[in-house]
Amino acid sequence: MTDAVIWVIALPLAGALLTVLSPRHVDAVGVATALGTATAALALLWQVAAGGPVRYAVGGWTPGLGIALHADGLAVALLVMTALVALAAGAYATAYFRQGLGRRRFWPLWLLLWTALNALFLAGDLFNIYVTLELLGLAAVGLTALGGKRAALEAALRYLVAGLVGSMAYLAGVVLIYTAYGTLDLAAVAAAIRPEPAAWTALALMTAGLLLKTALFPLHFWLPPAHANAPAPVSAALSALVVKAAFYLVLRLWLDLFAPVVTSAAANLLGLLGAAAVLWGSWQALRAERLKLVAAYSTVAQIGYLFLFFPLLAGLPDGSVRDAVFGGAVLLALTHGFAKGALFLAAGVVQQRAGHDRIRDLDGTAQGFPAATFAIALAGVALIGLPPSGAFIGKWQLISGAIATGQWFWVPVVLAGSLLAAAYIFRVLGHAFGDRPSQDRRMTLAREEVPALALATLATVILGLGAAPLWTLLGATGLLDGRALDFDAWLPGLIVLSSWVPGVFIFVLQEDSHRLRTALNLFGAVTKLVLVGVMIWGVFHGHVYETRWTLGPGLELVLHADALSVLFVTLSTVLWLVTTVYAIGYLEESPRRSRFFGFFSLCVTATVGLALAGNLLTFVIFYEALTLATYPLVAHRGTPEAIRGARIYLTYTLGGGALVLLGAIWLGTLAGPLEFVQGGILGNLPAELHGQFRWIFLVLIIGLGVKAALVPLHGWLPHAMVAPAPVSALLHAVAVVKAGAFGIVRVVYDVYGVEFADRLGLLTGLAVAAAVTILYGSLRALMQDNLKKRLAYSTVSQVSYIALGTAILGPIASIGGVVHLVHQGLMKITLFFAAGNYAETLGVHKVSEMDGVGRRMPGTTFAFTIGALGMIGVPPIAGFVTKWYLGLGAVAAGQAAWVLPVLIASSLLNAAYFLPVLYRAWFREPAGDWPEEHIPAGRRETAGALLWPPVVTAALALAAGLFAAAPYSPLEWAELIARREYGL
Amino acid sequence: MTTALLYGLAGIGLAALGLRGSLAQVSLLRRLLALNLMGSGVFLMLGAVAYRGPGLSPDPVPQALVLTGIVVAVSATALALALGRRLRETPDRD
Repeated sequence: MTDAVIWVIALPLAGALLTVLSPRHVDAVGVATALGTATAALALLWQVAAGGPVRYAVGGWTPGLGIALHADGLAVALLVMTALVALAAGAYATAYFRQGLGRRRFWPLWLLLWTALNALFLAGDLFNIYVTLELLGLAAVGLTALGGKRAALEAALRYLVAGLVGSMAYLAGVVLIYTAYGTLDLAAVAAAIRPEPAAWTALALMTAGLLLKTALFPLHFWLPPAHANAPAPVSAALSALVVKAAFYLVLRLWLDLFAPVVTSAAANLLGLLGAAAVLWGSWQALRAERLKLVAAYSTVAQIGYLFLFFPLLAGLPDGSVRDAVFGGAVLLALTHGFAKGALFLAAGVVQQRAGHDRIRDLDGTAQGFPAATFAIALAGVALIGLPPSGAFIGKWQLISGAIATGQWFWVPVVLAGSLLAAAYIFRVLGHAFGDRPSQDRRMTLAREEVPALALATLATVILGLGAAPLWTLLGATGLLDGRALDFDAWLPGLIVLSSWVPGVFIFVLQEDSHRLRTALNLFGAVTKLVLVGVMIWGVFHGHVYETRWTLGPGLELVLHADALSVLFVTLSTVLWLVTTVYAIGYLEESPRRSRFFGFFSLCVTATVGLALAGNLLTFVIFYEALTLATYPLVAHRGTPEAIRGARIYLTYTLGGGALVLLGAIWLGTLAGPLEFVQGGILGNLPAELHGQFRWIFLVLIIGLGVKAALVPLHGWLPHAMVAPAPVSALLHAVAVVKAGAFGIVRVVYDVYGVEFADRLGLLTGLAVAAAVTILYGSLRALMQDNLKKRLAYSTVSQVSYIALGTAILGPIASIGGVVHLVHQGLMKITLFFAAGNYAETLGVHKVSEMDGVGRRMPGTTFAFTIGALGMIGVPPIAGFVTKWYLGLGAVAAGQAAWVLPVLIASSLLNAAYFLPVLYRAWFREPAGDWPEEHIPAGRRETAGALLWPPVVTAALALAAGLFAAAPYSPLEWAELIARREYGL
Repeated sequence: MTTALLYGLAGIGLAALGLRGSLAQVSLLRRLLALNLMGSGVFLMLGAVAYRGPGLSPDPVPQALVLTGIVVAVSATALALALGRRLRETPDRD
C-alpha cells in the first residue's frame, strides 16, 4: 500500500463502474466497495494523524499541470465522516430498496457521489474543485430523483438548476483568480494573493456560488423539497455530506486561500446570514408537518450555526483560542453529519414501516419502533446541542469564542436556536411517546435500525466524549495533555457507570422478562451502594478520588469526591435502591416497564454524575442529561395530560439549562476552568470583573432556580405530578428539585465562595427569594385537596430551606442548609411513597378521601406521619435539626429579625397543611367504601414492595434526627463541609 | 480596447444575461438555454484570458478548462432534459 490518498478516490470510482457493468452482483460489489473505501479512509486518517499532511501528485505530473491531492487534518476528518455515513446509509439502502431495480440504480450513483466527495476534500487546485463540485451535483441530482415520483423529480430539477448556477458563479471566480495570479494551485494562489479588486470579486463570486450549494439562508430554497423527497438513505447523504462539502470549501477559501483578503465586515455578513438561517430554519422545522421535512429544515438551521463561526475566527488572532474555536466549528459540522444521517435513516424506517411520516399520526412509535425512536432521540440530543453530544462541545466553543471576541450578539441566537431545536425534536418525541395500543414488536431487521442507531451514537456519545484528538488532528498543539489512571482515578467514573450500564441493557429487554429486569435493577443499585461505601471509607482515610477525561481544549470532564459530593451521592444511592424496590412493586403488570426502568437508571446516572461533578462544565453536562432522562419518565403514562405536563416540564428546565450553560461559559472565559474548590475560586480575581460576576451569578441562580423551583420559576412542578409515584418521589427527593438546590450550594460555596458572594452583596437577594418561596409554597400547599399536589407545593417550600441556609453567612446556617439536602430527601420520599400507596392500594388521591385510612393501612400511615411531623419540625425527627440550625445560624448572622419569623410562619403553615391530614387518617371513621380498592386487605395492608420502602425511609428520617451527633451522620458531614468552607 | 478585453466583457455580459434568465424563467427549456448561455459567457471569459498577445500561442490551461467545462455543461444539460421528459410523462398525482 503506497498511498491511501489515491485509493479513497480510485476505489469508489472503480466500484461505481463495476456496479454498472455487473448488475446481477450489484449488492455484493457495492458493499465490498463501501467497506474497502471506508478502510482506505481510515488508513488515510492513520497516515495523516501519525505523519502529518500528505501531498500527492497524480501520475507524477507537477502541480499546475496534473492533478494535485492534498490531505490535511481537516480534509481527513471530513473524509472519515463521509466514509462512516456513506457506509451506514449504504447498508440501510440494501434494506430500503426492496426491489433489485432500485438497488441497481442506487449503487452506481452512490459510489460516484462518494468518489466526488472524497476527491473534493482532497483537491489541491481550484479547477479540480470545480470538476468535483459538478460531479457531486450530478450524482446527487440523480439520487434525489431515484424515487421517481413527481415531487422527487421536480425537486431534483430545481436542485440541478440551483447547483449549476452555483457552479458557474464559482467558475467565474476561478477565471478571475487565474487572470490575476496565473495559477490555480491552492498553495501558489495563497502565497500570491493580495487585497485588491480582482481578489475581492473572485471571493464574492466563488462564495456566492458555494453558499447556494451549501443552502445558506436565503439561498436555501431548493434544499427542503430535495432533502425531504429523496429516498431516506439519499437524504441522509445529502444533508449530512453534500451540503458540508460546499461548507468545507467556504471554510478553506476564507481561512486559507483568501485569508489576507477577508475583511471583518464580510465575515460579519456571513455570520448574519448564519444567524438568520438558525432562526428561520428552526422555526420552519417547528412548523413542518412531516418528519423528513423537519429534518430538512433542521439542516438549514444547522448550516447556519457553522457560519456563525466565521466572524469569530476573523476576530481572533492566531493562537490557542482560535485553534480551539476552529476545532469547535469542525466538530459541530461532523456531529451534525452523523446526527442528521441518523435522523434521516430513522425517519426512513418509520416512514416505510408506518406507511407515512406525518408527525401528528406518529403516536406510539416508541412502542412500535423502539430502536428507531431511540436513534431519533439520540440524534435530537446532538441537534439541540445537549451533552453528551459533540455539538455540545462545538457550541460551547462557539459561545466562548463569541464572548472572547466581545461579539455578544451571537449568543442569544445560539441559545434561541437550541431551544427551538428542542421544541421541534420534542414535538416529534412527544408523539412518539404518546399512548396508542400498537402491536408489541421489538427490534426489526438489524440492517434497518442498526445503521441509524450507530450514527446517532457516534454523534451523541462518541464525539461528545472522545473528540479531543480532533484538535490534534487539525494541527492545534499544546492544548491537550494526558494523564495516567489508577483505581482511585476510576472510582467516580465507575459509580456513574454502575447505573448507566444496567440501564442500557434494560432498554433492550423484552417486556415480559420481569425477573431479569429486576435482577439488573437491583444489581446496579447494590453495586453502586458498595462502590459508594468504598468511597466513603476512602475519603475518610485520605484517598483522593478523581476521574478526569479531556473533552476538548480547556474542557475536562471531572468527577471528584469531596465532602459535599459524598453526602449527595450517598443520599441518591440509598434512595435509588429503595425507590427501585418501590417502583418494581408499583409498576407490577403495567406496560412499558423496560422503557421506564431504562430511563430510571439514566436518571440516577445523571444525578450521581451531578453529585460527583468536579467542575462547572461537568455539572452542566449532567444537569442537562438529567432533564433529558426525566422527560420520558414524566411522560410515561402517555396520556394527553402526561404529554402536556412533560412538555411544560421540559420547557422550563431546558430554558433554565440554557441559562446555566450561558453562565458557565461566560464565567469560564473570565476565570478559566471552573473547578469546584471549597471557599471558591473567584475571590482572588481582579476587582474590575466583579460587575460581570454579579450578572453571572444572577444568570446561574435563575437557571438553577428553575429546577430548584424557586418562586416564580416553579410553574412546572405541579404539572410534573402526572408522573408515576416513584418518579415523583425521586424527582422531589433526590433528582431534579434537589439537583437545582445542590447546584445553588455548589455555585455559592465552591465557585464564588460564600464570603466572596457576601462581599459582592449577592446573598441577600438569594435569601429573600428563598424566604418568599418558603412562604408561598406553604400557602399554596394549604389550598390543595389533591394529596400529591399538596406534597408538591410542600417541596417548593422545603427545598428553599437549603437555599436559605446557603444564603445566610455563617457556618451554623450553612450546616442547616446542607444537612437539609439529606433530611428533606428522606422525609419527602417517605411522603410520596405513602401517597403512592394510598392511590395504588385504595384509589385514594385526595385529602378529603383519607378519612380513617390509618386503620386500613397503619404501616404506611405511620411512615407518612413521621415524614409529616418531620416536615413541621417536630423533634426528634430530622426536620427539627434543620430548623434548629437555620434558626441559630440566623441569630449568629444577626438576621434573626426576619429569618425567625419566616421559619415560625412556615412551620405553622406546615402544621396547618399536614396536621389535618393526620387527623383525618387516624381519628376519623372511613366514609364508606374506598374509591377503588386494588389490593384487598390480607395478611398485610398492601404489597410488600410498596410497604417496606416508606417504612425504611421513615426510619432513616427518624434516625437522622435521633443520632444526629453520631459519626458519619448527615449532620457530621454537613459540619465538615461548613468548617472547610469557612476555613475553620 | 484590446480584442481580448472585448471578448472578456462580452463574456461577462453573456454570463449576467444567462444568470438572470436561469433565475427568472419559468419554462424548463428556457431556463436550460439561459444556463448554457451563462456557461458560454464564462467560457468566453476563459478564452479571453488565454490570449497572450499577437503572434504568441494561447495559454493552454484556460483552453483545457473550457473543454472540461463544456463537457460538464453538456452532461448537466442532458440530465436536466432527461428529468424534464420524465416529469412530463409522470401524472400529476401519484
